[in-house]
Amino acid sequence: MFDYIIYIIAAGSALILGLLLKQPLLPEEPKRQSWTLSAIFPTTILALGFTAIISQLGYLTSSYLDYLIALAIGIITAFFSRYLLERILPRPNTAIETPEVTSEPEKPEEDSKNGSDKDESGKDKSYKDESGIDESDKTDQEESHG
Amino acid sequence: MDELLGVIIAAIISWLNFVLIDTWMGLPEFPGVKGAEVIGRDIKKRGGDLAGGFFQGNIVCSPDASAGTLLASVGCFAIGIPEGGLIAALLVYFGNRMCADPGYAGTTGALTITVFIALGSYIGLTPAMFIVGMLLAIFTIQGLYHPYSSKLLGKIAHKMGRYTKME
Repeated sequence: MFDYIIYIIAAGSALILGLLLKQPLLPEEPKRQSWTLSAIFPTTILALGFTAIISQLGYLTSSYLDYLIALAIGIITAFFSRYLLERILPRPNTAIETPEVTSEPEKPEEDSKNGSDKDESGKDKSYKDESGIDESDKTDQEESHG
Repeated sequence: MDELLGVIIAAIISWLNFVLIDTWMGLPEFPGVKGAEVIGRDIKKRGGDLAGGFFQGNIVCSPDASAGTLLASVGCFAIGIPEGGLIAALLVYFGNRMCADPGYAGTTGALTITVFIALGSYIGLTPAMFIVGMLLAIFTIQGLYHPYSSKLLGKIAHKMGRYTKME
């Protein structure tokens, strides 16, 4: 049977401890592009998920001990979210940006010396097409389409 | 409840759930991952809408509200209401981060559809109906004709103030 109190204790303790550990309540705007770990997203959501897993694994026994287990899940999740989550799932190093064009073009002699297919901005012509999207990325995506 | 009627109602709820949440979360505004930009521009080249294309690209490339909706329905079917939905939300969050996507649309979609499944259970809607309904809902967006569906998504994005500023 679904016990709401267990989930409220787990979520509440994770939320309060998350705030005490100086996590913001919500990520900053725009939330879609924010990597900030906040007290509600994801700490509270993780606590609810972990509680559901523990419950389904049969570790909750419908006794007062369950409340202590829920409290422990909330506390562990808050510390996990604050100190471990970014190490396990780090932010990516690259963002979606069009390649920057350098202001100083390279000398034509150097281009001819290299004999390469570089353009004025010093980047490989083969590296990007007219839309500015990497060819390598395009190939990867076309493969994943299939 | 009649099974066919239940599937149709579940499909409508699922469609509204993932389209509105994804649009509200800004999927048409910006490609969350690189592949989404490629897909969006490809759909535009084929006569579609760029914002709708980004929406569809984001759906394909990382877990969004449609994935959350489907996974939560499967979770509720296999594990129970609402535990399955909560576990699905947790897994979708990790999936987002593995796809280098900072978005919260998937997690939000999983949680909201869990609420709808729980409420629907009182009128005879089962998680199985939501699984089939979600498959039908995503088929209308990704499976029929990209140019039309992307234009529809673009119009919804316009109305919700989430149309892309990229060109």
